[in-house]
Amino acid sequence: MSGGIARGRLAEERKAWRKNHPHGFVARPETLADGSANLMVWSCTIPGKQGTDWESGYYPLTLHFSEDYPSKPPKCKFPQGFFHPNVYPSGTVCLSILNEDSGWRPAITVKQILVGIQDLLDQPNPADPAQTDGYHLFIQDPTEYKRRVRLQAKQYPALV
Amino acid sequence: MGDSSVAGALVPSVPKPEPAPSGDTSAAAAATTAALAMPEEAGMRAASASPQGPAEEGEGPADRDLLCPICMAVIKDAFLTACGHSFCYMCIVTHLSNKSDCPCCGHYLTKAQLYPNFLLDKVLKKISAQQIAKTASPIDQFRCALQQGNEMGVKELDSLMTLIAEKKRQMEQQESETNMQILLVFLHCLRKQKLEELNEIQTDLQYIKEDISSVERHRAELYRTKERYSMKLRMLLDEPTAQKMWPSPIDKASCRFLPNSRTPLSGSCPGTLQNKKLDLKAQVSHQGFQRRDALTSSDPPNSPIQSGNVIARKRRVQAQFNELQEYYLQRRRTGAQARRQEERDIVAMNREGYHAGLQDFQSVLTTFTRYSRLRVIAELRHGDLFHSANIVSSIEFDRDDELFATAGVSKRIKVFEFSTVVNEPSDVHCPVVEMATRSKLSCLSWNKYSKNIIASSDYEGIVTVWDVQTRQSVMEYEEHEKRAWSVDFSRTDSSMLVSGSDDCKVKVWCTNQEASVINIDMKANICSVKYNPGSSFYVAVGSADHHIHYFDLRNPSSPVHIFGGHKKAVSYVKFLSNNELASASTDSTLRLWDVKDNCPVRTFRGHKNEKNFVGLSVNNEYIACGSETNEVFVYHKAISKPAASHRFVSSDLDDADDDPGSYFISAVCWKSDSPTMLTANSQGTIKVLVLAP
Repeated sequence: MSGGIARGRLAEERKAWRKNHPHGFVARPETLADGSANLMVWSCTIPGKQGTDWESGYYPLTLHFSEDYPSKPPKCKFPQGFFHPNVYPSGTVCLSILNEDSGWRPAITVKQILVGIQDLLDQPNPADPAQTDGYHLFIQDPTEYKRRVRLQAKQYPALV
Repeated sequence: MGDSSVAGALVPSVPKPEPAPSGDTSAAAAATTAALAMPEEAGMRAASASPQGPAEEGEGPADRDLLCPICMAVIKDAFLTACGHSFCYMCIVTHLSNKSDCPCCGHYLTKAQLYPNFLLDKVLKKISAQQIAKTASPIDQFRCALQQGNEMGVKELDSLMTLIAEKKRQMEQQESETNMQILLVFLHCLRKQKLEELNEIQTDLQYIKEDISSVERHRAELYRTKERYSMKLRMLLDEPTAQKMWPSPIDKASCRFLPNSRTPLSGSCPGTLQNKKLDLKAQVSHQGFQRRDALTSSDPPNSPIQSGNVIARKRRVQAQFNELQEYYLQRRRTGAQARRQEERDIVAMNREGYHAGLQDFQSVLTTFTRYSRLRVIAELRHGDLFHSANIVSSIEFDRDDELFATAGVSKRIKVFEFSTVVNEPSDVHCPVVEMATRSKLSCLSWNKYSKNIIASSDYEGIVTVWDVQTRQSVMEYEEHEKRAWSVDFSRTDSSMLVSGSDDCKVKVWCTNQEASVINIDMKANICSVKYNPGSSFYVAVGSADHHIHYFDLRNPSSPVHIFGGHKKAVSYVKFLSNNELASASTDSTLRLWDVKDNCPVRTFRGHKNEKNFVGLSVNNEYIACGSETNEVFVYHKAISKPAASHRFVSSDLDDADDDPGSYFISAVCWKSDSPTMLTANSQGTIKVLVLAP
């Protein structure tokens, strides 16, 4: 339907990212068995923002692009069971700019997506819960919620 | 009027002063500018960003503003939305076929609200051209200027053309000089190389010329001293101790005489007398085998077909001409060893004027052309018919060459009397002594002093010293943890022996004590060990690491030298003399090494050996080895190709199940200072071979 715009757009995204990207973030297409790059699946790393409970964690995120991109947003997934009020148990991120029917715009770039998710880590949206565990603790037991967040940060150390 | 208005719109964005349009067009431009406020704003922003091009950070915003938000490439066919955003036409139309909003701000949008943005298109084209010009080379810019009909005076053109012509001439001259320089260097190198070759050839020709003169003078002297020569021969015949010496001069002389000149000598009385005496002495039975050797050696000078023999020797020279040529030039260029010269002087008669190298080569030539084949003089098949495994791993003469012992997978050491085997034809030869062993045997070594002592190594790693007379084991050394492949008694110290094993250890033993005297850990399987015949301190070790390690046992922590060159395991090491070491390997080559100067001497090829122990034996001049083609090969130590070979026929198979093609020679042993040798194969067949013309 999009007539092949997706791969061209993703190639340009890759060039733009390599030219200029935020410190600490990693984003690159997945490497296939034959050594070539699969532009439709990107492996990313989002660092926890300094000064927050998420600090010192480097959280792996996978972006799955469809052939309809950029008309449709990519599906962004943390590892299964990731602890956050707006992340589904499957790891899929619930964020307005990633919802085709609400905040998504074709002009939104990969960089903006990753920075937006980083902001979401420390600024959950309680009006749109995606998992019961994170949501309940965030609402009812902020102390335990913080402890869980810091515990998770230790589980994802920097890959040096 | 429209075109002029567009031109007017560009005036504010170009900082350089240019001829302004007329006043009327200026007013019209101002009016147009007001009407197109939005596109002008976009153009102005893009244009203002251009001067900041050199700055890399400034480049970013400019690039982003030129890109389509959907495909992120430079906008093609720019279209403007009602909400003021610009996209590629195809991108925005594709988007609006799915959703009715703006990709940037989300405002409601339909295809009816899209408008072409011609100004932005032109601005983008201009910016693209500017960027191309910025990166283009000065030559491209110059070419564009010329093609666009830029105003330029004739004088300026003439000046430019003069400069270009001069530049071209200089470049052509420089390239020509470079080519000449390269050609000159090549020719100089070529001349130098050819001069060196010429000098070498001239030197070789000088050597050959000198040698021809020497040989011709020597030949003339031989004619003059013919009678004295004959008398000397007659004197030698009467002395039994000199028996072995007299054939050599005759053989050497026969190489240089013409065929027709042989007739008088062969028909002379001394020859006839020699023949009769040999016949008489052949009757003495207790030394019959020795006499037979002498008879074989002396056959050539007394044979009626002497001329045929000379032709055969010449054919042999022709067959190996390149090898002989290489060896001759090598000897003449380097000169023979002083020690060899002394030896030659003792033997030589009236050899004045000979260069040492020529003497050495003559000796090699004579020895090499004397023999061309191996003849069987005896054969015995030992072992029980019911034993399927009859490989003879080792066959060795004793100190005096009177007895020889065999051992192998039959778990038996059998000692035969050599004279009996050779002189008494029989279907089955009985061993003089037979000793049963607990395990398969890999190697035998006679003591060089006590005639009745022999050592063996076996597949359990045990080294045993036997007394052949009492048929008992005198000592058993059990320190090796794995199969022991090789054992050797020292020639100078008869109480010392050395062994090598798959446990990567070399051990030195003394017959007076049970524990090993010296232990050397080699870190690779040991296939063969051998004492230097002139010293009880030096031992050569052939290893599975492709190397030969040469040890001084007074400092066994590291070898004196490591000889590398074989490409597979070194299966045998043997000494031709105190300084000459021969090695065999499963890379199908034999190699000769100088252990005094620690350098390789020669590589021998012709036999096939890829996995088995096929045997290796050396005497002063010849190296014999087996082959996995069931053949015995003999090399002269100075010639890389085989001098003779003999194939074991396997037509006398008793075991129908065996594959005839899988037989290989498994052991060989020279009789000391003799062209006779013992050979055995994996079938258990033992043959006595002798080198023959």
